[in-house]
Parts: sequence; C-alpha cells; structure tokens
Amino acid sequence: MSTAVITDWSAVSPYGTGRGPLAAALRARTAAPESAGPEEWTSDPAATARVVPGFEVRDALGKAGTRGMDRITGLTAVTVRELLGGAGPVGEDDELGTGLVLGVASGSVQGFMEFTKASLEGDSPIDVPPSKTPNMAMNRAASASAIRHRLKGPNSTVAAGRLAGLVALDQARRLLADGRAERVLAGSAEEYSATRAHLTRAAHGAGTVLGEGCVMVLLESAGTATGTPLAEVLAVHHRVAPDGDFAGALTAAVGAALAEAGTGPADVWAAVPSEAPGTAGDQERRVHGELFPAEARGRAASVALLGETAAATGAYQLAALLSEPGAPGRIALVTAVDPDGPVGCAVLRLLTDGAAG
Amino acid sequence: MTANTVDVTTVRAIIVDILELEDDELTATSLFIEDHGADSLGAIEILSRIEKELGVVIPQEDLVKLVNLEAVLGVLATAERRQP
Amino acid sequence: MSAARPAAQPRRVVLTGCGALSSIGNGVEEFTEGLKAGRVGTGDIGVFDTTGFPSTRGHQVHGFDAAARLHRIRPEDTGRATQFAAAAARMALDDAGLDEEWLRARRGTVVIGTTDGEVGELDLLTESALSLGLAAFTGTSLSRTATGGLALGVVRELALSDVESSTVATACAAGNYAIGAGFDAIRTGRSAWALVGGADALNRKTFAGFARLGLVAPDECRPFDTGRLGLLTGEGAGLLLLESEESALARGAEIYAEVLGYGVNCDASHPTAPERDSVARCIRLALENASVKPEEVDLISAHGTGTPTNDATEIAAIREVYGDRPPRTVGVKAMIGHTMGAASALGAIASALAIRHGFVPPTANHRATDPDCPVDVVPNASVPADVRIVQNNGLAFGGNNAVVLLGRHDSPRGEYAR
Repeated sequence: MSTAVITDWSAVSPYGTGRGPLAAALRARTAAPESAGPEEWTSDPAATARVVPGFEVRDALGKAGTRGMDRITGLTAVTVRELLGGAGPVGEDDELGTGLVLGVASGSVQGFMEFTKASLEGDSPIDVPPSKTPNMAMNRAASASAIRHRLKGPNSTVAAGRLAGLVALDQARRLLADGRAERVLAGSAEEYSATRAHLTRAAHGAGTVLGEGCVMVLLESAGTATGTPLAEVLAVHHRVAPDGDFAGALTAAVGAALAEAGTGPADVWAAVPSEAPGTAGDQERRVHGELFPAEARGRAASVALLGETAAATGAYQLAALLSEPGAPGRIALVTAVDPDGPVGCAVLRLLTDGAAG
Repeated sequence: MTANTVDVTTVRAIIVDILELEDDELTATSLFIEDHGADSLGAIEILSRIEKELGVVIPQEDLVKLVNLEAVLGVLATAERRQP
Repeated sequence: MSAARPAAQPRRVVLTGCGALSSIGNGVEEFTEGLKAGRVGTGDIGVFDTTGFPSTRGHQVHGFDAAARLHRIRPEDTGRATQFAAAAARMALDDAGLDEEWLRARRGTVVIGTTDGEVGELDLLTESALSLGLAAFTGTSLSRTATGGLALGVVRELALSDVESSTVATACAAGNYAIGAGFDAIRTGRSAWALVGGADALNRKTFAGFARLGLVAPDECRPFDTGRLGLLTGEGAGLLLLESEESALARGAEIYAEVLGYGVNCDASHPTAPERDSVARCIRLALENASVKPEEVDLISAHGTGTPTNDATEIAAIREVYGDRPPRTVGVKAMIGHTMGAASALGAIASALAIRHGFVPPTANHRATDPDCPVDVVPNASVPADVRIVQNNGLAFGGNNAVVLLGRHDSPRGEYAR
C-alpha cells in the first residue's frame, strides 16, 4: 500500500478550539481542566468532567442549519472547520473529492435517549422534536461536516468503541490507497453527556473521570500531497482479544503493525498507550513495559490527561505524537484497547520537529 | 370538532420561535421558506409544535400547505382535536 | 494464523455464502422463495408498544429463535440487532460450506453496517431510567448499547481473533459500505475472507422519528407508485461471505456472483433529502470501478423507499446515467420494508439471487407507475430473466450514497441451480 501522510490536523478539546491549545497543553503535560457538563436529562448539577468548557453548538457554529444539532456533531463540525481553515476544500469539482471518516462509539447516546423519552412521555408517541430527527442517523456528525464544507468524497462513520480513532485512520488510508478519494479527513469524536457518564461509571467505576472532544487529521497520498507532511502512516493493524487475553492479542497486533512498517520495537522512539480502564488497560501497560524501554514510554503525553475519552482516545493519541518535539524521522506508535475486546496498533514516522503545532 | 377558534398569538409565537425571527418580521403572507430561510424540517417542526400545544391533529398531506402564517391559520381552522 | 499478504495483482472477489433474516423469511432459501413469490411481510409491530402511533405496521422478523441459532453469544447478554448480525453471519458461513476453523486459519474482515446499532437497548434503558432513575444504568449497559457490538457479536459468535472488525454507521446505505470495505480487503489481499453486510432491529426511536417526519405509509410501501405515501420500517440482517475467486475455485465452492466493484460519495447538500446529480455521480463511480458500461446492466435493485422524494430523485439519477432506456428497476422494500442498515445488504443478496436463479424479483404492492418514475418496475410478479449484471443502490440520510455492482461468475463448474 502506498503510504499516506498527515499534512495537517486540528482539534476541539477541553483546552480550547484548534490544535494550538491542545498541542501546548500536551507538550506541557497539563491535565485538562474539569468543568460542569451541560444541563440535561439525568445530569447532576455538581458533576464535573474534562469537557470543552462552555461549548454550545450554536454559539460555536452560528444559527444557520444548526437548530437541534447534537453536541458530538457540533464538536466534529468545529474541528473540521478549524482543519480546513475557513477555506473551502481544494479542487472539490474533481472526480473523487475529499473524503471524511469519523470514528465514534455510539454517537449521541443522550440525544437518542432523550428522543425516546419524548416519545414515551408525549401525549402522542410521535411528539418527538423534528429539529432533532437528523441527529437520529448516527452519521450526522460526519455528514453535517461534509454539508458545511461541501466535501463530496466518501463519507463514512465507523463505530468501534475505543478503537474508533485507529479504525478511522485505517479506513482513510485505504480510501487513498484504493483510489477512492483525493484526500481524507480522518479522526474520532466523543461528546460528554450525563447518560454517557452514568454508562461509563457503571461499567468502569464511580471514580472514572470523563473527557470529550474531537481530533481530525488531513490525510493525503505521499506521492501527491499538497501540504507539508507532518507524519507518515506506516501501518495500522487491529484484531480482537479472545477471552480477556488483551496482552496476547495486543502483542500480536503490535508485532504485525511493526512488521508491516518494516521496523521493530527497538526502533520505536515513542509508544503511547490508550489508557483503557480496568484489566484491559492494565494488560496494555504491561505489554508496553515488555516491549518498550521506559524512555520510549515517557516521550509523549499520556491521554490520561484528558480523562476517559472513549471513541476520541485514538485521535488524541495521534495529537500527542504530532505535538511532541524531536528530530524528523522518529518512529512512533499508538496502541488502542477496548474493554469489549478489540485491540490495535498504528505506526507512524514523524516528519517534523513537532514545533509546528 | 372542526371550525376551531384559533389562538393566533400562540401560533405566531411558535412560528417566530422555530424560524428564529423577530416578531415584526413575520407577516400573514411572508413565506417560511422563500422569505425566512426555513427548510422542510422547519415546516414539520411548526406542524408538530402546533399539534402538541394546541391539541389538534393536522393531516400529513396538509404539510405542503403550511407556507405562511395565513395558510397555517387556515389549516388550523378545520383541524381535528387530538383524541384524549 | 496466516497474515494475508497484499496481492501483486488485484484479486477477483466472489460471493459464496448468504445469510438473510427478513419479514419474508429467514435463511437464503426462504428469502429466495419469498422474492420469487412476491411475498409481502407487512404486519403489526410487536417488538415495542405501538399504542398511540398513527400507524402500527412494519416488517418484523418472525420465527427467529436466537438461542437455537447462536452457539456462543447468549441472547440474554445482547441486543436484537447483534443477535441478527451474528445469526446471519453463521448462516452465511454454513451456506458457503465453510466452518469456523477455516476462518480462524486466515486473516479476515468483519464489517457490519447499521443505522441504529443497539438503539433498541437504549429505548429499554430509557424506559428503565424513567421508572428506576440512575439504578437503570448497570455494569453491562455500556457494552450492550455500544454500536461496535454488532461486528463484535459476529466475531464472538464465531470465536475469531485474527480479524479486523468494525461497525459502519452510515445509516441506510451502511450495508453497501460494508460490502465495499470487504471487497477492497479481499481485492487487495489484505484479508482472505470477509463477512460483511448489515443488521438493524425495529425500535421506538426510529419508528417515532419517521412517523414525525410523515414518511411512514399508512398501509403498504409502494415504491415508484403514483399513490406512494412513504416507507414502512423493517428489521433484519443480510450477511455475505466474500472470498477471492482463487480461494472459491480451489475449494470447489458454489459462487453466487462476483462483486465487480462499488462507488461511494456524499451529496454534501441536505441532511435528509437525496440529490439527483450526486446520486448519478455515485452510480458512475460504481460502474467505472466495476469496468461495466451502462448498457451491460440488466437490473437495478433500487433504494426505492416508497417516499415521494426518494423515488423520484433516484429514478431521475438513474435516467441521468442510463438515458431513456434504463434497465428494469425494482424496489424490494415493498416486500421486506426498509430494513435500515440491512437494506442494501439484503438488496445485494436479492441481486445475487436474481443472477444465480435467473429471475427478477418484483416491486410488490404496485398499482400504477408514477409518470415521474418512468421505469419498468416489474410490478407484483417476478419474471424469469437472464440476469448477468445487477446494480444495487443504497442512499442514506446525510447524503451518504453507496452503489455496488454484482455480476454473474461463469464458473468452470458451470452448475447453476435454475
């Protein structure tokens, strides 16, 4: 497969809008600030999380076409806007166009549950808010971003839990390699919501600190990239751990990814784990300890700074690598683990000194 | 029940809210789509809110008629009450 | 464990196993009979309480005994959509004459398309939260409601590990997206096999949403009909076992059809309404990818939801590509309802069955073809036909379009059931 290169990236994070605030905070190893989440059904007014402070979709995007738009769509659309820098995509009349692949876990769980609640509680079961019906399709965030910027290439939404960022990156590079898009925006997004907090804490413990946000990278084919390559995507490999053996499956996935990249554990300058909750995360850390020396494990920021960001985790890991200063040519990898079983690894070659962030 | 007494103030308020207008922008004949930038979901939202708040049922085929305030009031005048 | 190595030359991709769950039958044999007979699976929905809805009709899967069909995942631990996906995957595997060991010995791809994932589980959670409060959220709720669980359910049911799995949530075109992902994985040699398709289960959230938008037909779904009044929501699953031609021939498998290619694009125009030129562009992308000329296409399995806007726009797009003499164009949703993420996967299976068994499934419930939809819809009764190449359309909310081309595979065995 001809390699894909990342030529730009952006984010909306608890540190603010755009890649600058996120890159600076990750370089400084600053934990994301906690603030109050949105007021909504089942929310606890006292609860805090590592949310994007004061994020309101319509303040961020304006009123046109945003009525009823859910938070995950808002976070994604702002990230895409920041990434495209306000300018329209180049050459959108060309045949293949710009693709977009977004990784998610379950979209807006809060939005889905409140919609059903309206049906259950209304005088009529169809007393649901029409302005929210476009959110009912889980592809809203990706497709609304495409609508706002006329991105007419392949537009996909992949649901893969904590693997979502890696799977989206993999699908995006395949779209390029298979000649299905000129360039692809790839990344993943997660919204904070009261119901997601309840679901996550019930599964992973009452002390779990939740985070949210979106990171998107612009991916182009190495041979035809118009932007300055920041990193080359050398390999992505994912599989499923049988019967709780995350360590065995992850070791195999890292081995396969490094082999595809034509390199080995000793060449890895930085390794960033996904900091999964529970035993999955314990095993992930153990595998990193077995494969990589302490220096490699400490060279990039940990996504634990951002809290449990579920689907957004993989994209935040990429941001951690892209933000880190160092000589061009460094080999770096991220691993991802989902407590439900999927595990994966992506290998990059970092091509800048990281100061561009 | 048909030939309702229509609560014009409430209907105006609903439309102004959904289309995000200043009150004086909405006239009896200003068009939701052409003049106020609404899309097809806006019309459904107006229908839905009126059904809910005024307790009536507007047949789906009347949706296309809801082009301005005057037309909404016309449809409402003959709308059925919701079943209790 | 053998990692598939990228192929020097693109491989030809063939379909050798089908698994189908639908309102007109479970399993590929019942599904085939249903399509041939023009059976209509409409009935009252019993999956959730439909009290108070203006219409209570839809297309439900009946006679699905999850415990009997599933060997490993436990029905009590998983939602209905995941059960459908896993059961249909097992059907496709059996139908292909393969077993789990064969899959485990090779790297594979599992991609399941869906509109709603396990939203049905979120509906139940919402009901519990309204009555129980926060106690409704338990330790398993997160896993049960995760959309990625559909693909993972297939992986768990077949006890696989060296497999890339994901769930594609591109709404009502998701089945074709999944087939496209599997096609590319096999074609390039990245995987030796792919289990791809789509699954969705009836749920209150989507039923209420479509009803609110006024898109639900009062009695039947009538694609391309002058009197069409909307869609009927449905449920089901369509799973396809794809492998390389080389692999299928080596093991003497019966081949339903060859996957010739596909196209995906985005309207980037309107959240719910399709755009003619963009749909036409997607069809052209698919034809080009498949190296097929329009005049070579014998049949189009349309998205054909039966809503006024979709059908007129879709036919206009088809005529933009095919001119004044488009091939026969049928809407199987009249028979099986709009099965959401499963729709284009079941459409692809119907297309493959048309090729293999030499018939065109009908557009059921048909009274009079809309002058705005000027095509031969093959009304109400299937017809025998020599079907060589079929185009299968999937158009989704958000303007996510995906079109798949299937063609007859002239196997050296030359033994086709007719």
